[in-house]
Amino acid sequence: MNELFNMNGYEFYVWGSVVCFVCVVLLDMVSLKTKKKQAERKIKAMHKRAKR
Amino acid sequence: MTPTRKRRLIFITLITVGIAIATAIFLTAFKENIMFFKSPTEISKGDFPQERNFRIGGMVKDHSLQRSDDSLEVTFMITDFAHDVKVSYEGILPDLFREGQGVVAIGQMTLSGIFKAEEVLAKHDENYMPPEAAAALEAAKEQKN
Amino acid sequence: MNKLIRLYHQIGSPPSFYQISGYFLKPLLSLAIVLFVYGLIDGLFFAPEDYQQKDAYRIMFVHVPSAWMSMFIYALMGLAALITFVWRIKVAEAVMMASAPIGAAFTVITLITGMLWGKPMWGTYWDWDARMTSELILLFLYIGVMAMYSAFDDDPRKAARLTALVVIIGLVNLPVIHYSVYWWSSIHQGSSVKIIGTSGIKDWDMLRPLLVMALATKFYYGYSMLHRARSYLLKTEYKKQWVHLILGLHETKEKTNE
Repeated sequence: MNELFNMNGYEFYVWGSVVCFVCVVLLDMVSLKTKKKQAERKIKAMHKRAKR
Repeated sequence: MTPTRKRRLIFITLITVGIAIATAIFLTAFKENIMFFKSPTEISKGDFPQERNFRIGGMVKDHSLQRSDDSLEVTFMITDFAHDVKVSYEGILPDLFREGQGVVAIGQMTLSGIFKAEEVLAKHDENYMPPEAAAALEAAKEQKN
Repeated sequence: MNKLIRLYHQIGSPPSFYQISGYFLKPLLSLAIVLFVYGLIDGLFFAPEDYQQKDAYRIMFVHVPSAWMSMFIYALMGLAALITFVWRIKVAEAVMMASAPIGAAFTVITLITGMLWGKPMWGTYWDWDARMTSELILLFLYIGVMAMYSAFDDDPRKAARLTALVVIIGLVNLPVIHYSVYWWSSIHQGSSVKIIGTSGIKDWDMLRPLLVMALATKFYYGYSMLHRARSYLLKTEYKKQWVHLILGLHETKEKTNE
């Protein structure tokens, strides 16, 4: 297992970069879902208020 | 002015000022880099700032690297193939530091004409290849000579 | 020709844009994920090591595609901004504002992975040189664009128009980033992959993961941008009938009792 992740001394830099890439992309995916939920919640709340 | 308008105006002013300051800082830092970047030829003409840090860019001259036996001190020559500058540096050199490779040294010129570097950065080019390909290329070059 | 005009009107109208883009979301995301996984595994485990940088050069497989995206997205955002500014098409506003956070994300990746690459190879995390400085300014442009919009977000159309102006002005930075390594003495090397001329990477096993990752990031951008653009349209068109239809708000017919 260790051999598989071996980068001949550059483990920190190479895997650090990959982790950074994956994390930022995941963060973007979470944020776009929240954006959508926020928008829907806002519209529903406004709709309710308008009906009253 | 209505409160919203006021809030907006303050907000925009803040953004503009923020971006302006940030850009100004970057550009000064950046200008410093460009203005005080000298080649060995310029240095040989005496065109370099006194008593302040500046940069030398060039190639590490082949067979010029000398390591000290008892410390981390190294000396080497930076060349632009017209003139050379002798550089001394104490510290760990970057992994890509090699004779015949591009290098940038940051430091001051001493009175003895040796450049005392505080920082040494290695440059690399845009070519990537497997070791075997590099070896083949090297062999082909040798055959031509 | 008629078909083209119809397509133009369909894409330009928020409800049909919302509907059509919906079909693309899942395929784009699936393609992006498959290519990400393939590209990363190929690049990290199977590509041969570099003759000089050894394994450290593998950072390229995340750094270079992200750097391309940081500029590609800004260029598209600039195009959307131009359309927003001249023709005032709502969908263009949505595309413009949806692009900004993704572009910022890729710029952040570019800067961080660049630092992680710079330390072992050049000997420093950061150098105030032309390439790095202009890329940092790009990040500030993205942040500035989002901040500008949020300052006016109670009037989305006006906000979009003003933001479009900022985006268009910021376009100047793109050629500066690209040519920075040629115009000034930079520690950063030139482009390895060129559309015209010989590339610095001739080994197919090295080039393949790079191109796969470049494709993956494009598909991911397509997914994220369309998703965000749809949310943007819902939010700004909240008074419209089509939004109520989509959210199922029309079924509560309490109004008939009044």
